[in-house]
Amino acid sequence: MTSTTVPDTFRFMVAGYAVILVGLGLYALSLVARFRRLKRQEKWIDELEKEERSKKGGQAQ
Amino acid sequence: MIRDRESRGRLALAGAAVSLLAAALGMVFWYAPREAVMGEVQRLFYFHVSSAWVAMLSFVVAAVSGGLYLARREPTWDLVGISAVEIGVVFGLIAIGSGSIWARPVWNTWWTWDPRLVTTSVMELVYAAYLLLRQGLEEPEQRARFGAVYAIAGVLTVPMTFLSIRLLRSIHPVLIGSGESGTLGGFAMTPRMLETFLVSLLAFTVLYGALLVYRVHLAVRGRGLEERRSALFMD
Repeated sequence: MTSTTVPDTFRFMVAGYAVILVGLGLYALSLVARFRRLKRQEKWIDELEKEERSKKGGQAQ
Repeated sequence: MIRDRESRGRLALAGAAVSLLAAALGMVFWYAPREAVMGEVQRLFYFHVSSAWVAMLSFVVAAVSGGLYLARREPTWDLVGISAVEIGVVFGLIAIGSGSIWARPVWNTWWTWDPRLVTTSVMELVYAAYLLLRQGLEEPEQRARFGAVYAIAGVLTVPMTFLSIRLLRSIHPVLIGSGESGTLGGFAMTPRMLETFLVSLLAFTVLYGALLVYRVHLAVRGRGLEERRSALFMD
């Protein structure tokens, strides 16, 4: 009778899933960071546009 | 109102993607049986193949967007193209990284110059170059035209990668379609393995959809901001 043992490859599985999940997580985080930066810039442009409008309004008067 | 609906749609898609991914992970670890020859490391197969699938799908989406840009000259198609390439490169890297970790105990090496590994790396490098070269072009229309033509030409690497293990002598397993006898690490899928694989593929495809929708939304808003900024400083 022959007996076979399943090789212990558990740590490779853990490492592989770590690579996959960390990779996905980092990409998702990079999107979140870019959205935040964009929102900050949109706010800044809003303020500049408001300033510009009030300047033009002042000149017209 | 429309913006709210779009935002809710994006959130629903992201929620579906996260739920499906959690379900797929649960099936990978608690539903799919352990493979007898490779042991636990075989479980990498479900997400490794799904990542490679998403990378290839994304490069095809980029090529289709490129074609639509050239035909209609609508800048949104350029934004879809660059978003698809960026996501494809991320999933391609994940597929290569997880494949290398799987190969260590199964092939006894992290890397070998096998046709599948070489063609996958070539595909990845072609699209990494796309991202780098695009940055060098300042004029938006020229950049979009270049991106479109490059994505259409680059998509040739997708069938090259897919067919490499079917047409060339390779040790990479072929699970869908006929396999060569010289492959190392192949296995017969049980019904539970197949179900887990299909759920993983679905989860990654929905996740891809969600990421693409968010990435395109980011690009569209970024372009809007750029237009507002140049209008402001031109005055």
